[in-house]
Amino acid sequence: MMAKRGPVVVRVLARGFLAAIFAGVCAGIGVKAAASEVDGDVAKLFKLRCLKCHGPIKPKGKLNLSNGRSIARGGASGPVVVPGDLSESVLWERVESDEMPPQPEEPLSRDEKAALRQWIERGARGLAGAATVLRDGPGADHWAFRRLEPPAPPRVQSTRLGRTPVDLFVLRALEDRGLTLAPEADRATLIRRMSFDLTGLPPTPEEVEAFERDFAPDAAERLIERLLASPRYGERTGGLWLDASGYADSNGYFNADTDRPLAYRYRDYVIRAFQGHRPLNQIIVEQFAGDELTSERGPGVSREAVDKLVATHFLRNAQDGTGESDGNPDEVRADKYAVLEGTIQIIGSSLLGLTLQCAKCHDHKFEPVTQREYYQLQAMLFPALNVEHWQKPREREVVAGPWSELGPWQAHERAIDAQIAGLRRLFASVKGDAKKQGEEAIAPLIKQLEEQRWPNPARIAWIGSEHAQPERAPILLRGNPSTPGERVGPGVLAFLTDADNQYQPAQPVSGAGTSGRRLAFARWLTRSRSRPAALLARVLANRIWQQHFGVGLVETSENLGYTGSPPSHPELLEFLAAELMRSDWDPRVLHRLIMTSSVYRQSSAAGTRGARVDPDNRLLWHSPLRRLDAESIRDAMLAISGELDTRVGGPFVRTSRVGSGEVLVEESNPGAHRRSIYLQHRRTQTMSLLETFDTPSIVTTCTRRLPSTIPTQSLCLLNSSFVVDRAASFAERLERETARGEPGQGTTQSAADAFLARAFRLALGRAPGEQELEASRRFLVSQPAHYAALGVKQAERKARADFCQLLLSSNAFLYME
Amino acid sequence: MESRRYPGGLALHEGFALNRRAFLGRYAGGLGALALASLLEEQSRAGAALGEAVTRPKPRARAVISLFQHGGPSQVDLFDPKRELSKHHGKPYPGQLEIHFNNRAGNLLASPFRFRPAGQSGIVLSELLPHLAGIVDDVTLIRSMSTESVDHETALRLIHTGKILAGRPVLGSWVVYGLGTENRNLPAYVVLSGPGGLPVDGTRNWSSGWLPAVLQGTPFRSGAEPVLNLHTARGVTAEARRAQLGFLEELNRIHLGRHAGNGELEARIANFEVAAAMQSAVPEALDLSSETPATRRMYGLDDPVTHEYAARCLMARRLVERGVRFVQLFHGGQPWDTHNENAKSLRSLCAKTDQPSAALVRDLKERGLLEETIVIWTGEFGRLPVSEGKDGRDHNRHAFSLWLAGGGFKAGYAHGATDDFGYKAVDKIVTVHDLHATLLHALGLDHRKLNFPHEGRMDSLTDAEVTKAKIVPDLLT
Repeated sequence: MMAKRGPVVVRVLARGFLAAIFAGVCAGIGVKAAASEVDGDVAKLFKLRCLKCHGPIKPKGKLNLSNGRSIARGGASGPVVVPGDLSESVLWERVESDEMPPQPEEPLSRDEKAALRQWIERGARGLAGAATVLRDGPGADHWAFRRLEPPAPPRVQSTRLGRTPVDLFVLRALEDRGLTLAPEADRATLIRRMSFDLTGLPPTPEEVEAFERDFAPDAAERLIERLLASPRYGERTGGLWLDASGYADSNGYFNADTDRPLAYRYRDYVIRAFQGHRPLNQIIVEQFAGDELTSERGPGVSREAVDKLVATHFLRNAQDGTGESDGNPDEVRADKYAVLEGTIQIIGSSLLGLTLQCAKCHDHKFEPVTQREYYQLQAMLFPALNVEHWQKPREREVVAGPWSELGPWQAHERAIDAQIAGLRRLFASVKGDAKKQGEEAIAPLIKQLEEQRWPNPARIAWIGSEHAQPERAPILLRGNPSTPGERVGPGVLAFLTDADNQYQPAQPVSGAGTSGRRLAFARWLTRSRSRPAALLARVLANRIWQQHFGVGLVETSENLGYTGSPPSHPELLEFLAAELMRSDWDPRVLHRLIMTSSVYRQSSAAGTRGARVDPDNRLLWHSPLRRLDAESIRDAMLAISGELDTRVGGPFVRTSRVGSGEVLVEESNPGAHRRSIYLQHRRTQTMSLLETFDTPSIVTTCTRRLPSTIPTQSLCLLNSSFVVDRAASFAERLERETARGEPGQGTTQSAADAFLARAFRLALGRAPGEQELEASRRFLVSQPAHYAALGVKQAERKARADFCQLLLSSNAFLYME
Repeated sequence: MESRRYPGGLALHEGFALNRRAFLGRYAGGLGALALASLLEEQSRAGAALGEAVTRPKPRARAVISLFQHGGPSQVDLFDPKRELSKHHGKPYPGQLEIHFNNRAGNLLASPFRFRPAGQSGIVLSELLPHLAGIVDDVTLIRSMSTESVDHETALRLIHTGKILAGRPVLGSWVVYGLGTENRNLPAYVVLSGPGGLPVDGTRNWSSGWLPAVLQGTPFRSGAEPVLNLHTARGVTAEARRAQLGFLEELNRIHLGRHAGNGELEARIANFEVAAAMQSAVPEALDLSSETPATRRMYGLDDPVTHEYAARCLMARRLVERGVRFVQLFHGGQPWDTHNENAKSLRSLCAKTDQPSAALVRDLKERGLLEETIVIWTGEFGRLPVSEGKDGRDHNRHAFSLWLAGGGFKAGYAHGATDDFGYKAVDKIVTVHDLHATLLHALGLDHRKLNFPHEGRMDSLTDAEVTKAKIVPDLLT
């Protein structure tokens, strides 16, 4: 039997919490609420004076005054507001008589009452219609939990700026505040922005020039198509997906933090899926239940089947210490549950925008998720992540690959086997000491042969095979694995479940040997026009927006629930989410809508009026100046120095911790110059350069970065061997590419200018400005004097390397304009 | 001992009244020389009519060392002895308890530790804190703290930022915003990370939120090399480095011309100056080899149990000595979260931290620095008087204890009280907001005036209009 919680206590707790939340948000800038929402003084009044008790969580008398739907629904005894009719509105009656808010709260002031009265008399703007209220139930009261009913784009004054619907939503909000968009950025700025956003790399000087010279009206559109088709697109967008999905190359949990040598297969699956523009709902279904969609197993399967099996690694991205558990049964059990818990947290943050993990120990205090539902989700995963029949990380590995990959490997293996067998046969019939001596003699030879084996190219890590028993998973009292309670079967979140989208047993493909539970969940989550799919679409659309503006329309991109931030442009998010769904979950549609918009293409220079009205630029009156993320900084440095190794996929490139405690990739490592996505993602050992620039160590999941600005980043740019080495190679590259004629004594002005022009083009994607050119010339002339001891030529070379390093340390490089 | 305590020598310019907007325009030129403090004090004197008495005309404190104790230290085992609790051990709590994890509310659990009066003041402390007992006459102990949340993350946000919402600036950022720095060679706000990774809620614990980026904490790593990349590459002479920095600043200023007033860019420019200076300042500041044997003994620097925390406490003193405004020690994870084996865990945590923490106060005092340095030792909430499971204690937001020393806080003073069982603060309750208001006041900053525009209004650490934060004059001399 599930324990009941103390109702009084919880209510008090939630009240304090919500009071604090609403006190915090009521003064937010945001955009005017949608037409279907209560706004202005009345909304503020409810927030400040009523929501302590009549908030969304366990509202007193079931009356929730937090939004237009819940107010229209009314309380336990029916509607409390009748639009236009004061005498029929119970809410007014209670407030007018000072019965509410109750003692010891202050009664409403005269002004507050007047505002409320006026609102009701004038028709209670923002209340939802009766049909809507009846249809959806309280589960849909929160904006993010509703069906998608995308609004038509609003009308604006500056129609000429309205390139895409995105513009209309943003402009409308700006115009309401007397603002407008900044002028369009120049071509060089735009292509740099677009390239980093879609590929994580800067454009080459040639690409910039081509774009600058392309006067066709669809130049931007064609550029976007080229970037979407670039192999670097899969790495970039796949990388963001991997962060959110909690991907790591190590098991974590224990200090040992052992390797996951085959996790890269999942990484490569994601990159490939994005590169191939696989619909996002398909990726999600495969991640949950790829193994339920194919019955193929083992060697000789199709490439498609391998993809489906590998995709399920998503469900085991969480930390998993069960390979190292020391045998204490309580601890072993807890470690197994930790995997389930981590997996549910990843599902919650990356797909549902919900802090599901809070319901592990008790009903969620701030979201409508019960503890029972939490364990129903565990039951959904239970056959695969089965605590009673556990598979350790290395046991969730099998050989499954097409013969085309296996064939050459098998031939090689067979050859080695044959040689070893041949050696052994030599002494098979011999006995006694002679046998022993002979075996000793061949041992080193066998060892040599063994070392020549190749790793099996078809070995994959996946969710593992299911075990049907037990059918039901226990609710853990207080979340404690040693106190299992009542058992529950698989299920989903009731507040998101409607009659037309129940959690129904799904039939896995015949021969898959699975329960169909995960498939059923994936279908529930992605079913067209359902509320879970609407939430999913909002979460994904918001992250795509975040990819282009640094901050999501909902800032807390991992949390769209009651405790998440409110959206800055609610209608725009609805629109984008609906477009994503309408396009059969093709993210390119949103990239195009966003990147062709005037909003995206505006300049990042900030005006003064906007700064006064909206200093945080939440309304987007200029393009936000965004710092490159850590991976882009590293990858761009390699690209600019001409050293970037663009090989795709394969096992991770190992990082190591050197004497000083710094974590790096040794320059001698053949993969040292590969893109950051291919470096070892070890939880306890994030590469120092990346960590300094805010790459998180993945504990569970990371849907967004919090960029910091600290002096240790400056130290890294000034002194780290990685940056110093890139600068030297960059300088050599420039020398190579701009050298003309015979090298003379000193450097002529025109040679220096050619060097500088190329340097700026490579590093910043543009020509130097007049002042920049002046300053750079002076530096190149004066700096060699500080290296006089090296001799003229070396001193000049060192000065050029210095110049390159400083260019790569400058804000013009580190930020996207 | 050094003759000048602040080698940076950037004293606050008295009477240099700077309004906030001018401040915003200037802070990136280095955080030194900002006289916002005097301005604010003036304002609050003028504004005494607004309600709150200004009890101290001159601020004493100019620096803060925060020894943060993640997880919720158990007040009834450390600071707040309860006879009734021992008497009724094993019986149910006579009333309604708010339990975080509802399913395992146990019976009253007496503290297994003995409590004794300490010092002249006779403040009663647990046997687990013999070193704190030794300096108790320099300490203000608050037994009547109360907070709003029993969830770690939200309670952490509350005690660091004044609200349970994510994304707000932390106390350290506000203090640096208000007072600037006194040493341009080091970050104004240094975080000394513990071993074992990030604390719960990660880097938010030292984020400047919507305050300018230059005000965020700079984390130093735990272990042998707290700051990486301190050495200039071989062959780069001092003049070459100076010229490099000059040229880089020139480039960045040209760039800034297109983004006038962008705080993050300004911070990044300023950070290069700090970084270059840190190359010599950090090794000097963190070099503990010059400490005397007596000091090493006092902190427990050579004892393997206390070594780690002792080293960081000593570093904190050395940083404050050199003009760093705000130093904060964190633990990895949340070690004080004693849901299981409460007594055993407390014993081991106190063994590691009690001696170094107390030594820090003693050391500051001996050096004449305690007058102007606030040391604060606190977690995010307290624990329940009842057991959780066999031998643990669950979270409690209704009562926790913390101690402060120096910077104008009373010496040898215990403030407030909880009920008979230590469950709820009942006498002279201090909210987290009150604590913030009082800390800022001790630093000469008016919590109602130390504000910044955010989302269309002036927001502040205490947001007093909403939170009703007020200074607690009783805590101050």
